[in-house]
Amino acid sequence: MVNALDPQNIKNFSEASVSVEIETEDMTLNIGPQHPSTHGVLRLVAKVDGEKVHDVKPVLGYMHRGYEKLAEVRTYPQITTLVNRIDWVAGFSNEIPFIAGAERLMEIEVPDRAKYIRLILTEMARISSHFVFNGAYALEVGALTPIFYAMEDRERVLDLIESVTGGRFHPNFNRIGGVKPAAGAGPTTKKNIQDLPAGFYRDTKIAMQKVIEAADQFQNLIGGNEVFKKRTKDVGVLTPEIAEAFGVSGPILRASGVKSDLRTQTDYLPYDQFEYEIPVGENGDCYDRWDVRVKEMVESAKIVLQAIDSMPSGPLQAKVPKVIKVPKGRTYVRAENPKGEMGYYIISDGGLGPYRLKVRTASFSNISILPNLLEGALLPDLIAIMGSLDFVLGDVDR
Amino acid sequence: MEDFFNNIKESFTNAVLEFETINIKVDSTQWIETHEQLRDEFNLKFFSWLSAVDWDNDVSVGEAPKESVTPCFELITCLSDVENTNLITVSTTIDKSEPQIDSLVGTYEGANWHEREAYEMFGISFANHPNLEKLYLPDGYEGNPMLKSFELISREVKPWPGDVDVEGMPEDSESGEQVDG
Amino acid sequence: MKNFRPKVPGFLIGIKIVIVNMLKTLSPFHSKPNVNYPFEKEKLAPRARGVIALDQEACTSCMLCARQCPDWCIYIEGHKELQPPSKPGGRQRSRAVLDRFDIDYALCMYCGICVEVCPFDALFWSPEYEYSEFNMGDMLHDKERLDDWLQTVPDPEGLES
Repeated sequence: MVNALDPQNIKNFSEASVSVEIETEDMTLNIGPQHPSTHGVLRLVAKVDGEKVHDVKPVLGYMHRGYEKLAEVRTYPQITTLVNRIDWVAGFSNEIPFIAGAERLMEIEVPDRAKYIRLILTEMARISSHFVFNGAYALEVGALTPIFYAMEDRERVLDLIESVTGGRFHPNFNRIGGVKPAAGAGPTTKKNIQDLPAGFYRDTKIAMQKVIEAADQFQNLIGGNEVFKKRTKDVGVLTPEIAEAFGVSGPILRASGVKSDLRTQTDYLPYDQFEYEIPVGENGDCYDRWDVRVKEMVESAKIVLQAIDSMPSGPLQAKVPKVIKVPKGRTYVRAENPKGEMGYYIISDGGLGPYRLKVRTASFSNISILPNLLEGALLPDLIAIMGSLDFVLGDVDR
Repeated sequence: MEDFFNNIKESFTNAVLEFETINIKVDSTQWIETHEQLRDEFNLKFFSWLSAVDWDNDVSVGEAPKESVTPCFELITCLSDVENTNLITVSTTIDKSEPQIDSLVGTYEGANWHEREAYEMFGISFANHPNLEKLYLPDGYEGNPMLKSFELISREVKPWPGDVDVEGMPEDSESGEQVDG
Repeated sequence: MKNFRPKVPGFLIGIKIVIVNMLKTLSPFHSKPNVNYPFEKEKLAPRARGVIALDQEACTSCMLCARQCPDWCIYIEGHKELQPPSKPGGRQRSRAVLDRFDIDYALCMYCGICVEVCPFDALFWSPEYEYSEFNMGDMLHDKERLDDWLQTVPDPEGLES
């Protein structure tokens, strides 16, 4: 008879293995529309087996505002006021390609000073968007301090944008032919020119120096931290082939090793007058996507400092008729938004507003890779991967 | 841009370059072959977007086209090349009473969500699409919002505050013109 | 990752940054970036878009602002009045008088198109922002209230050379 309490026998029992197939069903986990990590109202229906995620289905449309339909009943200046609400973190960079498209159809030449002011404000919007990313991504991975550092430095940049345009996120400063020339159309308000206010150069230099120091601080505080590295290196690797087939653009594509930056192709802004580098990553994991954005912040600050030193003088807006009718034609204009490639396809019929406006947003294509990337990932990795894609729901749902 | 355009014009004779955008018009039966040729021969592997335009003569939003058009749907895709940044748009027209075309998901995987959006906004159905269902609109929504015959309710219900005429405009350039919006 | 052996562990450098920032915040010479809101108010830029002020005398009810507003939130009604002639024996002039000029701030997008198209200098921007209400109907500011905001409109400031 076997003595069950004999230690020798217990050791033998514990080495016996039994293979039994246990039938389990995947649990459906609803990472619902209200969630602090989904950057808005994004809903993911995930089939989860323990902690491994099998199949993710994004459900969109909680913020669909119908931009393309709204644009059919409005005139060009009115659409400019709507369009900077698409990607509300970097408001100024959404207006620029639309106005550039209308100017291309009308064949208007924009004065140099207006181009430089547009470039400075676009780069400031890019810095502001990347600050939000830095603060919020560290918060999702688990660090509570960096978001306060990021918001404090971002306030300086937003105050600068407010002192020039009047609004922090929705500047509404672009007009067809240049930037906003005067505060009104009457006899005294016509003389109130909306050029750069006094003290702008001094405040901008201080703000950009602080941005460069803050990026260095982030590299040491977050990037050197072993916990952050363990959480983000080799997580969510994206190959360039999948990225190109799905239309992924911007810092995500650059982090996968493809050196592509649309700023070299935009001819309506004078990027060829400045020297800047294009940071490219190696592996395409979450750490590279974070790293590329921090380095881009530094490059944008350097561009702004160079632009201030070489600002030309001149009028702020070209001569345009009082009632603007854009001639017939169709064109596609694209720009390098902080989140990726943003483009507007305008079909104009000679009226006061476009016949059809198609808005191509960056985040819509960027999150279409989520079902591919999240295959077999653990649940905490899902949060880290989603945060590194840096999308905003206004961009996804338009 | 010029060299690329000349290259394209050798294979597709009806390519047009206007306002810095190249457009190729193809027949709807050659939709997939054209895209495969552009992807393999001309290295345009980046799928930017796909959308549709509703050409119609009586519209209930906005203004009608100035010259009359034959009512149809026009499908447009935009492809590009990440290394050399060449850009091209391809367009085709399909019939409005039975909108049907082959799906591009086999050629470019990214066309999945764009075709779902065109399906729910215009009512165009794509053959061989893996999951053709609604993307943005809630379940049970009736109608296709982007059609020109679909009204914007908020503009119909509220009377336009600019209608009350007290005095004529100060300068007489384009005065008396009813601006919609 | 396996061959990664730094001289100083990364998180110690991070803690050094946190401690340096904490000492900076606690030092008495630090200019605080926070504004203790209900007790101190922040001074906004003069061009900040807070509220729209109306100068009633200058308005001639030309309806340009109501027509160009993207949201249809300006409501204007008026009538014409005859005025005594400026010179004796001259023609009687008619002037438009406002009965109603309402801006509905519940709908307003703060875009500024109305201020920009007004040809008679009747609308101005002002950086006031404290006018929230508990009742949605109170967000419709009528003529008198819009006139009160006129005192808060700042003078145009100097420009960079």
